[in-house]
Amino acid sequence: MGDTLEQREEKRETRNGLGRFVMGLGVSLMAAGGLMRFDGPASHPTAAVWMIGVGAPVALVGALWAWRNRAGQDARTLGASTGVVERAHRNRSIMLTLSPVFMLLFGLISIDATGKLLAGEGDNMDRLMIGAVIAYAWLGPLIVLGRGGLTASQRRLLEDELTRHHRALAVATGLVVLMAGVSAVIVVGLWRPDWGVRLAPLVMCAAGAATTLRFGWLDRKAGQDG
Amino acid sequence: MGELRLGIRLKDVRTAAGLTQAELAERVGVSRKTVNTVENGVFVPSTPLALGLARALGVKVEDLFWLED
Repeated sequence: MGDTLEQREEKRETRNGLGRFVMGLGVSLMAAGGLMRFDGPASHPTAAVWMIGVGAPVALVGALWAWRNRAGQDARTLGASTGVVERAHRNRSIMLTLSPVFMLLFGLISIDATGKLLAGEGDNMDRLMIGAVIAYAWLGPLIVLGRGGLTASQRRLLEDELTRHHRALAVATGLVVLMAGVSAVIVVGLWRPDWGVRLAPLVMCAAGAATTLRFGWLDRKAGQDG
Repeated sequence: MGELRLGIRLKDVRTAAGLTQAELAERVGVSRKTVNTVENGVFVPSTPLALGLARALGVKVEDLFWLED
């Protein structure tokens, strides 16, 4: 038996998302390679060429895959059908499940990059890394707040009373983690100022991840019967 | 005065009306999860939502929610 319209559309969305992710990975590799090449007198020429050389085809394959799986007639039919609210909620849940893992990973990676910059040994890659970590730490909380990358119609679908209730609980959790983390950073910073700065992005990511995880957990729990 | 506790009969009334959670949610304009959490007593609805649920089911709000002694 063939897939239903909804199942087909779900698979298409997953393939499209994968294509976008691969494209983003390729573009990131190219950007990182470009920065390395222009960061002083060819600081890491072989690695930079390799990153650009690999990044370009990866980005191209990802873009083609995303384009091949772009929204078509099925998406339009489904968008006009009932259950569109449920699909919008499910898509948000997927985003909220994935982002905390990357947030914490990036937060840990940023410790080394911040350390290098503080020691005067950092390069554009490290600056880029810290910028990306800070930007990414905002992503989860922005989704929880109903702001991150959503169209007006998606926002309308996702905003209901339960969402606002979960948001309040999730933001409270994030605030506790942020306060605890900043307190720890202040204490550490009094003894080792460099470590205070190095840990700050990690605290930001941890607070963002805690907000996102709590919201995602509440959202999943709300879908369970009984 | 002690804490007010809400009695809920939403699930009984909904099933008697032959509606699924998703169908009721669609009528009220909320997510299925909202209906589910109200039915399970996890989430206490606001007055507008309680009235909306009652209207969608064609009953009075007192038939769905009441204060328990």
